[in-house]
Amino acid sequence: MKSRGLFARLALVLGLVFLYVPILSMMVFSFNNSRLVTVWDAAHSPTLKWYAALLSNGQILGAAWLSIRIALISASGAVVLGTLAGMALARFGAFRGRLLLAGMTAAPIVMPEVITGLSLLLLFVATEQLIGWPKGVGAVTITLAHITFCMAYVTVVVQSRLAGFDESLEEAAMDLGARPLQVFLRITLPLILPAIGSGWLLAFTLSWDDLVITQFVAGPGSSTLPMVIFSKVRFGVTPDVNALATIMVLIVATGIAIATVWMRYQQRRRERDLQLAAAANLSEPLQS
Amino acid sequence: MSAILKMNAPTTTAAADPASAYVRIANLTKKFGDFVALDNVSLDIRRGEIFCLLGGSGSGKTTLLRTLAGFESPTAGTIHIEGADMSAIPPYERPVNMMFQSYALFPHMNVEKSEMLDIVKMGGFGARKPHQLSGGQRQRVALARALVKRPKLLLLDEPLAALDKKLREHTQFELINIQQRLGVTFIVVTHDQEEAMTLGQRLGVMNHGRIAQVGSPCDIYESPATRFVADFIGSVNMFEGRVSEAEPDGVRIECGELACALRVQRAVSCTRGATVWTAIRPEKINISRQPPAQAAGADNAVRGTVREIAYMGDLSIYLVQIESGKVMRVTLPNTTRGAERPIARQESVWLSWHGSSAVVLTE
Ligand SMILES: Nc1ncnc2c1ncn2[C@@H]1O[C@H](COP(=O)(O)OP(=O)(O)OP(=O)(O)O)[C@@H](O)[C@H]1O
Ligand SMILES: [Mg+2]
Repeated sequence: MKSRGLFARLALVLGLVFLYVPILSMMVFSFNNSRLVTVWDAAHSPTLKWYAALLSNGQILGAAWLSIRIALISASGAVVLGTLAGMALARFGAFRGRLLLAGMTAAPIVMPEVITGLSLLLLFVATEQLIGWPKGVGAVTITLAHITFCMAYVTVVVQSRLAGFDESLEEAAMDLGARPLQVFLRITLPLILPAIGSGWLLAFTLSWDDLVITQFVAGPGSSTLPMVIFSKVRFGVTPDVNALATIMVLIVATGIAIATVWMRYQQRRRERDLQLAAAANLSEPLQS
Repeated sequence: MSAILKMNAPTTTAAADPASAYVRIANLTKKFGDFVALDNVSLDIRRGEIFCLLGGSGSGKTTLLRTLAGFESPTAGTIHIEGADMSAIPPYERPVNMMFQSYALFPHMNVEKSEMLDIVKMGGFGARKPHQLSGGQRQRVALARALVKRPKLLLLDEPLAALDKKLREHTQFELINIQQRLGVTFIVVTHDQEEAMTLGQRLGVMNHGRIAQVGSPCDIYESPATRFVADFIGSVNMFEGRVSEAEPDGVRIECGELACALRVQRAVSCTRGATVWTAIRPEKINISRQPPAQAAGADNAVRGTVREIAYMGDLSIYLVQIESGKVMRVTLPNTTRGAERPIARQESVWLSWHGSSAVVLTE
């Protein structure tokens, strides 16, 4: 019994070490004074100078701002298209071309990113020759490409939420006189909003850190943050990259922590309500 | 000699007086692929009545309600409400509301204030969300919601199925009360026959997508039209036999499963030599130690041995094995407390019944 407890604890510690030591060491070295990433300059550390350097680095700030804008727009675009596709797949029964649509929306998930990126580049080049748009590669083509592959993930999330959706809710609304559009806006949309929200977050992170597809469809002057980091790292890791990565990790971790606490709060409130309702059921006076 | 006699059972055809037909369902068929869920259903519902649809699982009750509400479009046939054809009317424009089996309360909305909440005695619960309500409260809110638009026709799909027995019985009378106060026409689906008999002024029994019989609870219990209905509503002792005498006021039936012949004093439409089934309700059979007045060898009386007795409180059920080996079910009310010498297991007894108590069924 005791040995198994020990083994479990050891496994846990090893697992955590495996997962988090790289990130932790990166964070620690972001406060290192030395230019050399692997040498700890104990005399002058910790220091915030790499963070200060980041703030005055126009290239990195510009790339970060571009990445944020692209991620915001692509996540929003992917949510609209992905919700529509998810609705069609979950609700319209066996329409003609359903299998094709299902396959096509899932394709970017399973396709190697290199192929997705290359085929998108070829498409953009071809449409530019045919209709003169988009003019060259750049932020626009990156956004379009991100919408394309992010939409697949949103579709999956929305579709699985709709699969567990009680359709009699929509019928009840219709029964009470709501037209189809009203039913969607007042019943379906609010109820699948959590799925849409997590789809949006997923799409945002996917777009935020995508490198492979982006490199195919990016042009001069449209380097996203992952592209800048990657090109810097190719000439050796510098401490300011550590600082940048630490900021990114902290932002993501804060987001996850807030989401977790919020979800737990909701869950607990719901359980308490259910208990109160059950108690009311037991003591319910039948006469008024 | 053969005699085709007029059947005095209540009419089961849907062609009632058109003036009184508030909802007219005519030759309605609904197929899901090859599966026929509704098979040529014709039914008239009267204004202001409680009509109960009763039937086994999968018999098409919910499908019929959903077609009335407009959620399913019929494969063939028509629905008229107050004379208006409903074929092209979408659900949100029909003068019909439905109370869903699962209640279908909107989880993200408050109950909200409405006079209907007072009618279902839920006046103070306007600010609650559905998950903050108990099962019984949810049922009331669902009913109030279905009544908010003051529909002329309310469809209720197993409205009480999720409630426990006591609450259900109480709520049945409340439903009748509300229906009478508001003057709404109710079509109630249930698979609980007691509930159907309590609620319904008329019942429709469904079987495999067809309407097997329509009538008052008494009609259906006392004069079932088919073997299915006789067996489905209450319990029954059923004997297959052959008509040996057919006369205007009754028939005599020879029956291999019984030691005696059956004499049924009811007008029956069948010919001599026809194969028929005779149904006798358990409570219509007398059980006694002495031979009955008709004496041995007479019609409508058999000897048997008590095999099993189940005490149910208000009545007792006796399972009596008759000489042919068949087991008959007899129920007796326990009218006196601790009767002096009750009939015991393995005792030899006589079973007898009156000729007017049996029902002869031809299909
Ligand atoms: N959308 C559908 N697609 C295919 N078959 C269906 C569909 N809806 C109902 N059915 C079938 O039609 C038959 C009748 O179903 P229905 O729900 O009307 O039965 P019911 O009488 O309400 O039964 P229960 O008492 O179990 O609720 C069932 O066999 C069911 O499987
Ligand atoms: Mg049903």
